[in-house]
Parts: sequence; C-alpha cells; structure tokens
Amino acid sequence: MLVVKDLQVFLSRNGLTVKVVRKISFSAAAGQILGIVGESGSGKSMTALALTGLLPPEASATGYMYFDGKKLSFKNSGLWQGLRGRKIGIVFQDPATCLNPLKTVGKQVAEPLLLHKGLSPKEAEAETIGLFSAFGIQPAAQRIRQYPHQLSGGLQQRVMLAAAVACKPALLIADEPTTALDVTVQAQILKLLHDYVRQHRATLLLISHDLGVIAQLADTVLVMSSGTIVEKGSVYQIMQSPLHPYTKLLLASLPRLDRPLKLPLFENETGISESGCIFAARCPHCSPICLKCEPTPKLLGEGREVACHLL
Amino acid sequence: MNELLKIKNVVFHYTSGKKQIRAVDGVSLTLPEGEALGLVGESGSGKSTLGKLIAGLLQPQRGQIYFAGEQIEGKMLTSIQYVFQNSTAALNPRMRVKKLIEEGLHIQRKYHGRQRKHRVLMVLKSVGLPETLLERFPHELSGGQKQRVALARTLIVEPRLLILDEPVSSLDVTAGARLLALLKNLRKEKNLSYILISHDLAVVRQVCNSVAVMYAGKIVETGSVEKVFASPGHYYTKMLLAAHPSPDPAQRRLPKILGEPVDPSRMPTGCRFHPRCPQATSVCRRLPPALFMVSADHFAACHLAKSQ
Repeated sequence: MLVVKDLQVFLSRNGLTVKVVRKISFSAAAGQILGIVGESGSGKSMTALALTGLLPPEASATGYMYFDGKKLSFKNSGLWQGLRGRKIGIVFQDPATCLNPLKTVGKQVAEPLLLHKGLSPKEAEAETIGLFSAFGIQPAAQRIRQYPHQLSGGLQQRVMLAAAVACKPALLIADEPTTALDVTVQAQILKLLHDYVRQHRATLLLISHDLGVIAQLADTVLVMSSGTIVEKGSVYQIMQSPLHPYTKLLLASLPRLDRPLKLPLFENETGISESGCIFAARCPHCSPICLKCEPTPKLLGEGREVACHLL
Repeated sequence: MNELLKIKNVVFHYTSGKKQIRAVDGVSLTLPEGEALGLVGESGSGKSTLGKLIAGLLQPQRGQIYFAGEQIEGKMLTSIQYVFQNSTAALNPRMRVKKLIEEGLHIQRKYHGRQRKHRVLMVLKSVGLPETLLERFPHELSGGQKQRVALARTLIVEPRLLILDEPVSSLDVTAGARLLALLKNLRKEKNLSYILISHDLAVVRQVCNSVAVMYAGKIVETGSVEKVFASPGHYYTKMLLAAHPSPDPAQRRLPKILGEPVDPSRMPTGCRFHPRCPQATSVCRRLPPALFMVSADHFAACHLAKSQ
C-alpha cells in the first residue's frame, strides 16, 4: 500500500522558484497498477523522482508518503537510502543512458542482490541468470557477461527491469518505460511489467504520455496537467467517459488506428493561467469563474475525482 | 495520375566497423503526384535510409530513382525537401526564426526585399505560427513551434515532395495532433506529396492514403491504407497492428510478440521475417518471397499470402 499526501515540488533556478507539483495526494493498493498520464511539464516525472527520493539538487519537496509501514517525509530524501533497490524499484525511459557502459549487464543486475540481500557473488550470479531467463534475455549465461552496447534497446530495457525487480520490491515505478522502444518491443516490456505486478502483488506506478499504454495496463489513472491532478478514476471511467476538458483533449488528440482525428487546426498550444484553473487558458469552455478561482477536486463516488468548475 | 516518384531496385549497404549493414536491399516503389505514402517499420528496417536516398542525401549503390520522369543521379532537388525528425537539432540555435525560414531563398538567391518578407509571412501563416515569433531564437519556442518552423523552412522553396521523418514522435500528444491536422491540410492546399516515415501506424493512418511496410531493408507489404489496415497480408504487418496499444481498456490485449527487430548485419536466409513468424514453413526458411498481389494495389511479400 502506498499513500502520498500533499506532495509539492519546487524547482529553483537563477533565484526563481517554480512550483512544478502542486499539492497532490493519491494512493495505490498492493497489486494495483496506477497510471499517471500527462504532457511534458505536467509534473509526472518530478512526482516519480520525489517518490524515489531522487529529486535533483535544485529541487525541494514537501509532503509525506506512507509506504512499507513508515511515514516518509519528502523533505528528507536520505530516508530512501535503504528502500531504493530493495523495496522500491525504478525503471527509467532511456536504458542506454541509465546503464553503466563500463560494467557488464550481469554485474549491474547482481548489484542490488549483493548490496541488499547479502548474497555471495556466486549466488548473485545464479540468481541473475534466473532473472535474465525469466525476462527473455537469452542465452542468459552469455548475456550476463556482455556490456550494454552489445544489447539492443529492447534487451537493455529488459536488463533495467531485471535490475529494478531483482530484490522483489513492493513498489515499482516506471517512468516512460517504453517511450524509446518500437511498438513490438513495447508490447513485450508491458507484458513483463504486468506479469511482475500480478505475480508479486506489487504496486506499479506507470508514468506515460501515451494514453494507449495507460489504457492497456493501468487499473486506475491520474491525469496530470501543470503539476496538478485534474482527473482521477478507473481506467474505464477515464478512457470511456472522460469528464475534464483536458482529459477529453488528450483523448481526442491521440492518433488511432480505427478512425481519423477531428481537431481544430490552431488553438492555444500552451499557456498556464496565472490564477484560477491551470487549464483555463487552453479550455474551450472557459468561463469567468475559471479565471478567478482554482477548482477544488469534486468527489463523484467510486474513487472518481474531477477538478473542474463546470461539472 | 502522374507518377511523381519512381524507385527501382534501390540498394544501399554500409559498413559499421567490421559489420556490413544492408540498410536498403532492393526496394522499388512509385508515388503518384499528390499522394501521401507512409513508410513504416521498426528501428533498423531501413525506412530512414530510404528517405535519405530519395532526398539525395545518400547515393544508392544500385538502382535508380526517378523524380517527375527524370533520373536523379545523386542530386539534391529543390522540389524534394526533407523535414528532419529532431527539429531541435535541425534548427541552428544562433539563427532567428525569420532567418531560418528565409534561408532557402537566400541560398537560391530568389526574391529580395519586400517580396522575400512577404513570402516568409505567407509561409509562416500557412504553418499556423504568429508573426510575433519571427525575431525569436529556437530555444524560445515550444516543440510544436520548432517543428512548424522546420516545416516552414522547406515550404518556402515550394517543393513538390516532402519527406517527413517521424514528424510527431518528439511532440506531446496534443501538439502532435495539431501538426498532423496541419500536414493533412497543407497537402490539399498546396497539392504536395508526402513520404511520411514513422514507426507508428496510427500516425500513418491520419495523414496517408497508401502505406509501405519495411522489414530488414525490404518492403514486405504495400497498398492503400484502408486495405492494408483492414486485411493485412503479411504477418509482420499483423504483428505491428496488434502491438499498437488501443486507448480503449475494453480492448486490452498484450499480444504475444516473438523475437526482436532484425539485426541488419545478420540477415536471416529466405524470408527475413521467418525467425519471428509463427507460421513459417520450410519454404520460408529457404526462399525469399516475392511481392504477391493480394488484391488490386495491395501486395505482400509472403509465401503464405492469399488472394482476397
């Protein structure tokens, strides 16, 4: 069980402080896949970094997270030291830059096993070979001695995943895990993520800008824009009957195989309103109240929340 | 309809270290004027190399490319323009938008003074950018705006064929959708022809009327978008379509995908797709398949393809 309460993230640059995540709260149960969807700049990656205690030095955060029976304050990222790799696994977007080019991939996957589980090098190697076989990195016994550049992008991402789940973490955070991959390889990686969650009753936080990926895997979905959660609900509610105009825009913008897009050619591309609703400047239904007051999330039952004045 | 582009048996191999990469290995296709052809395939399929061959950025080692009836022997034509995938890298960071857009006219020494300014404004308008951006630098633009500037740079020289290399893959979904709508409109307005290179079949579906699927340096299926998407003849096309994640959770499927994209330095014998094909027979392992006519204007290079 994961509970995040009032998470705020600030970024300071050149003496200016920007709020990139604005007091968001959410929770996810064991065995649940929580999808976070939004465009670049929506704060979804900063949320992932905060939850792993990996925020960059120029960022600061407030709020709490309850995980593994502990209350962790986002103010103190040192608390994550013993959790990362052991209880919390992380998969990032670009395996080519995340893997160490000077170490064999086998060593990189064995690292958490040596560090957290105290296995001997021999035991760790045996376990790594098992993980490689389970994740389709074949022939495993040879692959563990290879370096990242000898592997394709898809295999590199499998290695990242194997390293992330080596210690069977209860929480797995995947930030755009398939964005750099071909659709066919994407489907394979999504399957591995899905199977891990179901087998180990882990919680998966799946972050993606691709509504298709979210729809295929997630149980519940958070839609983020400019650092706030604008809509929250089950994957069926969000994808089949979106309520927030932003969610509707995202869905209408997604290229589909079954029908052509119908979109107005030129409308406001970007722009965050200074006050009021963060989506007001781009919203086709914007009314005076939207420019004045920030909408509070309305609870609609069945776990559904929408932050919009016009409901 | 007029044949604008005709490619005959084009081959392009290159060496990387000790490996020989057969990037494009005998590709033929034709593009009628005013059409939009989607070139799809996984990374390493040779689709971008083929695009660069057509643009004259690479010279084919064998085969011919004809544009408007004339062979282009390693020339770069003004009529064929290439819009690169990564607009951040394609735009000179030290040039303002105005200079970036008019550069083509500057090189060709066409239109001067007020006329040139008028042209720049027209092109700017046609890609949906406001005049206020003219004095900006690329780093002051959003991803969608940069992609539009890159497009405007090519449109100013009035090309007939645009090669669009993954035009939306670096954009957010909303900016991507607007760019796709713009591309669709521009084609009609200016009677342009497109070759759109993408790994995403849904993107091709939005803009193109025909599609060519590439695998391991060869075209494995070609035809109209309706026919290929509705009844794919090659198992690889089926696999690509099945792997596309649908936004409808009621249509959930995590399809069984075999194997990895091909390594172009180690081509399999026979049909290059056979190691990943669940239906492969002994013929597939031995003989490379020729393009088979599935129906009118719909071809698939598969031994098991049937007439429809």
